[in-house]
This record gives sequence, structure tokens and C-alpha cells, in this order.
Amino acid sequence: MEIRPILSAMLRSKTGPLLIAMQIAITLAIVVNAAFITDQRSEKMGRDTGMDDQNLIFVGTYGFGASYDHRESIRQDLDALRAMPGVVNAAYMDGVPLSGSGANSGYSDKPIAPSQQAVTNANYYNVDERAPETLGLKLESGRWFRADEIEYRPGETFMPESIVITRATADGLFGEGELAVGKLVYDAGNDTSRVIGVVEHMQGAWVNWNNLDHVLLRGAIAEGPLGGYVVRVEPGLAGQMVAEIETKLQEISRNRVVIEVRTLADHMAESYSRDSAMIQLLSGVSLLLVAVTALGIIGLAAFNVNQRRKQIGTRRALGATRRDVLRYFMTESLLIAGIGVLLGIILAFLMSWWLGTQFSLPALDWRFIPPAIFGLLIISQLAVLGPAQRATLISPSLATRSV
Amino acid sequence: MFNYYIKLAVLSIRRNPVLSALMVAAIAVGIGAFMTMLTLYHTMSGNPIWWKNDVLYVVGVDTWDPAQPYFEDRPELPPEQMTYRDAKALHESGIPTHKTYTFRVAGVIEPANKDVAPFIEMGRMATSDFFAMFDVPFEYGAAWDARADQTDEFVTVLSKETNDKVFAGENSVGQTIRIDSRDYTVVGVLDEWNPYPKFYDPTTGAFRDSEPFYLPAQLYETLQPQRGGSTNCWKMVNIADFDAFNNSECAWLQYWVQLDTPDQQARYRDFLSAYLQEQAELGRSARPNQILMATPAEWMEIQEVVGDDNRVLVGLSALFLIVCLLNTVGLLLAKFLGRAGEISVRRALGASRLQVFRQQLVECGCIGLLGGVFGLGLSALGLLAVKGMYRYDGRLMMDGEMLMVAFATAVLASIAAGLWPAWQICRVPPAGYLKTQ
Repeated sequence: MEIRPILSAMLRSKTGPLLIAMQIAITLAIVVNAAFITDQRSEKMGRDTGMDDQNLIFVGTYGFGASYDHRESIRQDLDALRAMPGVVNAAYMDGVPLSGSGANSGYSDKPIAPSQQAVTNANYYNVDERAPETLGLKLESGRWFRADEIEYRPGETFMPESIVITRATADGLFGEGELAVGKLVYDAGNDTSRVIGVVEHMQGAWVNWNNLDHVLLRGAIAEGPLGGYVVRVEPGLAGQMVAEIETKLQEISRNRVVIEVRTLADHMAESYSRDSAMIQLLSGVSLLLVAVTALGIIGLAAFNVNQRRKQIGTRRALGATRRDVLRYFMTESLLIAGIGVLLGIILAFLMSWWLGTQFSLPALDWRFIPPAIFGLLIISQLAVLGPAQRATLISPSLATRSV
Repeated sequence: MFNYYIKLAVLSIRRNPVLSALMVAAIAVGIGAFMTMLTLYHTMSGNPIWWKNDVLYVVGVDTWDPAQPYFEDRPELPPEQMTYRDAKALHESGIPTHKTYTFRVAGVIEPANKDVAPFIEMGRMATSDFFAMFDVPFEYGAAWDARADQTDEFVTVLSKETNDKVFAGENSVGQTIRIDSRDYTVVGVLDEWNPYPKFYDPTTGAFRDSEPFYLPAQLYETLQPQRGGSTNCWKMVNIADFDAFNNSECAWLQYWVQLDTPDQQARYRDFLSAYLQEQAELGRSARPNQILMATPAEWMEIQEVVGDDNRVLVGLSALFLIVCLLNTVGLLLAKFLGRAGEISVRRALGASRLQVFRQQLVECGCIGLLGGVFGLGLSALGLLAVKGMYRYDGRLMMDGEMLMVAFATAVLASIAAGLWPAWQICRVPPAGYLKTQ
């Protein structure tokens, strides 16, 4: 194909092609970096929770008034919840994983002095014997709680007899892959609990915490006005059962307020809201960007075809086929897009470097670049197709007319 | 002459409707995206108490774990909240003009009307200075007086929303409301007051509404309420033991002071270090040179109220706007050059280059203005979407400042985009075009 004449025509009016090349370059740089950030965020949001996360509902209650009996109220509520059609199981649990609020404490595998740092930190929950099963946790070793092991005591910081910990917590306490069942765990006051079971995996409260999978389940119910339940429902019913559960619990007692009934999915959506907003906004901007750039290519090509009607007519009169004319514009566009893409690769790495220094984002993974190059080249070819096709319709007789 | 140029611009826009629409759309989309991100950033980074930013300070003292700092990545900072014993001790100081310790508590509100079910709310306990130092507006009544900060008085200040819900919006001052099985006398009802970001306590969500009711912090020991904020401890304590907890090293209160003069500020700083020194000598873990006295603006910075994500988005959307402008430059160039013949006639009839140049720029300005108007519409839609994404409780809208920025950006950007094409066209030698005609 005759690249020389195309190049010399482009060099005669550089501005238009240059503008398009710059647009393509910036578009490539933004799209690549946006895709990279988006990919990282979705990976973060897609991490395994270790729970049956789509079918769980969490409930919080708060008792008040002289006639409120905390322990009896919990028993009543759980019985009522389990009797509801659609409910698979319900258990006591005083916090909500992945909700952004919870408690964590330092734990060690041996007694420590007051000024010593604990061996590891874990996010802890008080649960009853049905909670692990209701959450859908997988037991790695040992066993779950027995009903007679669940203690009922004031406060939440005492160490109960028995605890269940996640594999990650066990690794932190006793070393990678070490046996944990039967061992003692010390809190900062050197009180102890015995590990009766290890969970394969479970996520805790704070999605941005490095120790997200360090969880410790305490076989205990904490006395006080607060109650908390985890309810597992039949697949697909979580959304609609929220209101039903709220009504049901309100019917049972007026000495107890239902603080909130929410699906775990909703808690997760809130905890990850900044990440999902970033994904949506970056995807939105990228999409618009590609659209605007494509429109720019169409606009310039249409203008070029219009400007060169006479030359095209002359070429056709001199024997160029329709296919030759089409190929001319397609090649021209490919050349411009090629220059833009080359500039864009440099720009993409510059942008990634800048994002890294300013916001300590990780460096761009080069594997995101080839698909973007390919995509933009295709889009630029598709965009020019319309105007180029119109150019092929220009009649050779145009060359013989004066205007 | 200017009016004539505008008339010409309108004519020219009408003559090339598709090309003009493309240009307006490109500018509108660019402005829309950019202004959405900028307004989001502007709102999130706003200082809702800017007029007192140089006299208000959130206070922190470092009585944290000797083995590790509170913020692992910023070891020079004390904990973001304060222990009860430190707050009580600091409250003895007479240096600040105003001072308050404040925290969230849960309370069940039982409306007198039995048809309305009791509901739970996260209220706030504070001293009366809270309302004075943060310029909290009252619709009815006023804050409780200083007496209620000294001895137990069961009084409360309600938010406008709570008053609407429980008292149907009437002046409820003097009436009683039942909170957590106790009767309180309403002494004040707030006007609309929801500062975003919630500068006085961003620890439980910087874009959440203010509390629905306020109680004197003096009542804390009598009520022994359920605390509602975050509590951080480094030393083991039985949280269920009320007295032990209050004497513990658990940090859970916010402490604010108003210091009007540099002299007060210096004296208060000295007071804080002297206090920490004294605590260290008493055998507590204390770092006398680790003091936090942050203005609301500095506090928002420390709390990372504006995420890095928001800055990245402003930068990317600015680049997006640039792409849209490059696009417009290309389209304008095409449009102007397509009119070379007409321009040549005007030049031949005596129009100077400057006049032609000006005329083209007026046209660009018109397109920019149109793009700006549509762009504002788009960013209103964008902000609506973003509000949902970020679960932002308040109104997320452009203020006057942002509106001005939007229009200035639209017009300036499109004029800048028009400079090069207009310059090109006014340099076209008329003779060549006239001959072919």
C-alpha cells in the first residue's frame, strides 16, 4: 500500500491528525490505568468471605425497661426466627462481619508481660453453638461448640472456656500450618481460653484491615441490653425476608427495639462502597472517553473526505478502484491511531508512575496494555469506516467539473 | 458589533447542526464528568465550620500503649479519641473559652403517642459549650445552662427531625420526652444542622447525619448508657465493670476546645504537656511531647475524610475534559476551514483579521456556554448517581462557587479550544479562495 503519499498528505495538514493522535494517546493512558485500578478493586471485593454470604441476615436488638429479660428474650427471638418459613437456621452472634464495626483484641500463645506486644490481633465475636453452622463456616480441624459450653456472663472481654479460631488466626498465634486444637490462647491480661476448633477461612469486620481473616469466635453470650442474631435463609429469599423478620421480632416484645435487620450483602455493599464507586466511576469515564474519541475520529474523517472530494474524484478517474479509496482512508486512520497508541503507552506508564508517587498505588501491570491497544486500533478502524465508505461513492466525473 | 457576532454565531451553529451538536455534546460531557468529580471533592473536602477554623481545636493526649503507637503509619500522633479519666482531668482547665467532651450513646425514644412504636437512636452526650462553640442553630429554646453541666438535670436538646417526629414540629420546649425509660424536659430544638463532613466526630462516618438528641454529659455516670461510638483499648479491662472502665486506658471520647488568642493556644499547649508529664511521673504510660491540637481542617486531613480515590478521579476527569476539548478543537478546525470561502469574501470586503478572529471566538464562546448548560445538567445527574454510590446522607449539589467554576471552565475551555482554529482561519489568504469562486 502506498504509505508515502498518505504520509506526505498528513504532513501538509498536521493539526487534525495530531489532535486525533493525542486524543487516542490520552484515552489509552486513562483506560489502561482505569482498567488496572478497577481490576484490583474487583479482586478485593471478590475475596472469599468463608460464609454463605448471599443468604445471611443479621439482626441487632436493644432491650429497655424494667421487665426486659435479656437471656429469655434471646431464647424467644431465636425460637421465633427458626419457626419462620424460609429460615434455615438462626443463632446468637453479637456482631456483623464485614460491617466495618466490631471489636478486636491482642492474643498470644503464651503469657506476656504488661509492656509486651501481643503475638497477633484478631476480630472477636460472641456466638452460641449454632452460629458456625448458620454462618456456613467450614471446619478444618477439631469440633464446633456444644450447647452446654456456651457461657452467659457480663461483659465481653472475659476469656470463655472454649474458642474457635480461623486458620489465619492459628497461623498468627502458633505458626504457619501448626496444629491449634487443644492449645491455650492468652489475652493481654493472661486469661486463657482453649481452642476447640479451627475454621478454614472467615472474614472479620474491617475490609481494609490487613488481618481481615483473623477471627476468633467465643463460645459465650454477653449479658446486657444488646442482642444480635445471624439468620440463614433459603437461597434467594434474603432480600424479601428482611422486612418479615423485622415485623416478626417487633411482634414478640415491646420492651425491645429492633435496631436493624440487614442482609450481609447490604453490609458488604456499604463497606465496599468507596471501592464500588471507584469501579463504576472509572468504567463510566472510560466508556465516555472511548465514545468521545471515536466521535472525534469520525468527525475528522468526514471532514477530510469532504475536503478531498475533488482529489478523490481525480484518483478515481485515473483508475483507482473503490477499494483503493477505502484502503487509503483506512490506512491513514491506522497510521494516526498507531502514532497515538505509541504515545499512549508512554503516557500510561507516566500516569501510573505519577499515581504511584502521589497516592501509593501499585505500578501498572503491562498485561493491561495489549488489549487496550488492540481495542483502540479496532475502534479507530470502525470509526473511519463510515466516512471512508462515503468516499468510495464519489463519482470519477467530479474531477471533470470545475467546482 | 458584539451583537452582530452573536447573530452570526447563531446562524453558523444552525447551518451545521450536526457538527455543532457534536461540539456542544463533547464539551457538555467533559464538563459534566469534571464538575461531578470536582463537586464531590469540593463537598467532601469542605470545612463546615471554616469561620472558626483558627480557634477550634480537637485535643488528643498520648496515654497509649508504650509497646506500640496508636497509628502504626503515623507514630507521632496520639489516639484520635480520649480516655474518660483524661477528658475529666483536662476539663478542669480554665484556659479555653469553651470546652466540651462528647460521645455517642444509644437511647430508645418512646413517644407519648402509643401508636408510634418505640425507636432507637444514637444520641450524643456533651457539655453545654458544644452548642456555643460549634455555632449550632436553635429553632426553639436554647442549650441547657451551665448548671446542668455540674449537677444532674434531666434535660435534652432535640434535632429538628426528632421534634418533627415526636412533637409534630411544634415548639416542644418545656414538654417531656421519654428516652431509655426516663423523662427528660426539652430545653431546646435545633434548626436544620447537619454539617458535612461531620467534623466534630468523623470516627463514626464523616457523611452521616447529626445526632437526633443531645443529653448533658454530666448524666453519664448516673445513666451508665450504652456507648455508641468506637472504643479502643490497649490495656485489659472488664468493660462491663462501669467504674473500672471509666478508670481504664480505653479511648472513646472526643474532646474539643475553643482557644481565641495565640496566648491561650500557647498556654493550653503547655498545660497539656504538663499534664502528660505529671501522668508519666504518676507511673502511667504517657508521652509528654505527643499532643494533638488540630483545627477542624487539619482534623479532616488526619481522618482521611477525602479519600485518595477522590483526588485520582478529579485528575482523571480533568484529563477527560482535555480529551473532549481536543475533540472540539478538531471539529472547530474542520468547521472553520470549511467556511474559508465565506471568510475570504468578508476579508475582501474589508473585515480585518482581528475582526474575523474575534467573530470566531464569539462563536466558540456561544458553543462553550451551551456546552456548559448541558454539562451542568449532566453533572446534576452524575452527582445524584454518586450520592447513592457513596451513601452520602446530605445533599450533594453544586454551590454558587462550583456553578461559577463550571461556567468559567466551559467558556474559557471552549475559547481556548477555539484560539488555534480561529487563528488558522484568519490567516487564510482571501485571494486563493476568491479565484476559484
